[in-house]
Amino acid sequence: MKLLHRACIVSLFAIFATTVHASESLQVSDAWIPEAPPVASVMAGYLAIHNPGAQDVTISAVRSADFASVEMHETRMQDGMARMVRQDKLVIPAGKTVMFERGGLHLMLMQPQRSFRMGDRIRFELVTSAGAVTFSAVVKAASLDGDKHDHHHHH
Amino acid sequence: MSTDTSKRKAINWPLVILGLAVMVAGAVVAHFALEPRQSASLPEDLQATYLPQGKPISGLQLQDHNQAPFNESRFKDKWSFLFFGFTNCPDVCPTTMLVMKSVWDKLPEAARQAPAPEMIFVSVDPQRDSLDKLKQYVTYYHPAFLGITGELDQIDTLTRQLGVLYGFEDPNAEGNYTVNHSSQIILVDPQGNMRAVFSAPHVTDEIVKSFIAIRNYYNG
Repeated sequence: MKLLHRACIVSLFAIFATTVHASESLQVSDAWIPEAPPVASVMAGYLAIHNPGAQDVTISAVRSADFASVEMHETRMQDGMARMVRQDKLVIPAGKTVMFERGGLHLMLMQPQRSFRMGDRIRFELVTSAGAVTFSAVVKAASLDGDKHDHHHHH
Repeated sequence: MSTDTSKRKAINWPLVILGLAVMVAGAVVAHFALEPRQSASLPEDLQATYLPQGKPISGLQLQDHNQAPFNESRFKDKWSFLFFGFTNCPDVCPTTMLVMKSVWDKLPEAARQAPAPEMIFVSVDPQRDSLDKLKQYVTYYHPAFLGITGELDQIDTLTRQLGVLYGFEDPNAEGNYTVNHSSQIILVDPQGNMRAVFSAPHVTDEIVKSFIAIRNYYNG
């Protein structure tokens, strides 16, 4: 029994070690959700996803217990109309940061399973080719100012 | 000496009043005569498409979020901003509603004088957007905002006249569908004519500035 226990621990270490060495996990920052009218059955999530590793990482799904489903979408202007284009997979290139922001890529959060208040933190999980990444997004006032964050861009 | 002083005062008072009256009259004349002259032309860098002739809107049979009929007579005697979308829209519609709110908040008192401009959200998804849902959605952004919708062919009567496009995507496995739609904001003048178009991406300050210029030009 004791030997089995030790074997388990050893194999657990082995799994962790492999995960770390295979490729680096994505880093999520500035994740936020604009507060929406209580009747809204969809909401949006905005965030920055950085890939610090030397290999491209593909996101294949996004999950949250607080929504019936979560999809990655991109707003595109096409034929004079704003179109929502679902992204089944999204590649975060090695060393690059991909921004999810208003009028572009965004998380489409469908059917909230509870009501949210400003300041609530909502847990998400990215399913990626480099393993799962969890992060939390904060619910902020629905204001255009909410887009201003501490992220430093090059101008 | 004292009689001299009182005599001088008696003579001077009417002059003072006359002088003040001339100044006030001058200011009033300047205010009414000069202001229209300042807005005799639109700024060359106007961040909007202005329709010099205006385009009359007719034949509307829509409903507002208070269940009241909405036809073109509702445009009379006030400016109206119209934006088209649907409440199941996570990115473009909330952003544009915030732009509308911000425009409203930034309007100077003079441009908000009665009657205040009407900020209207037109739902092109009447199947999912009931009038009650529309009311809760629109008034969340501002209690004075108005939601309108109607039968699809009635919505088409409005969108065709304004050059607004929309179209439904095929539903997914869960039956959810999205609606593609134009994202411009349409300005309707107090005689019910389509008067200007604000194209996306919307910059709130530019919309406010353009609206004031258009309004002055129109009034002048």
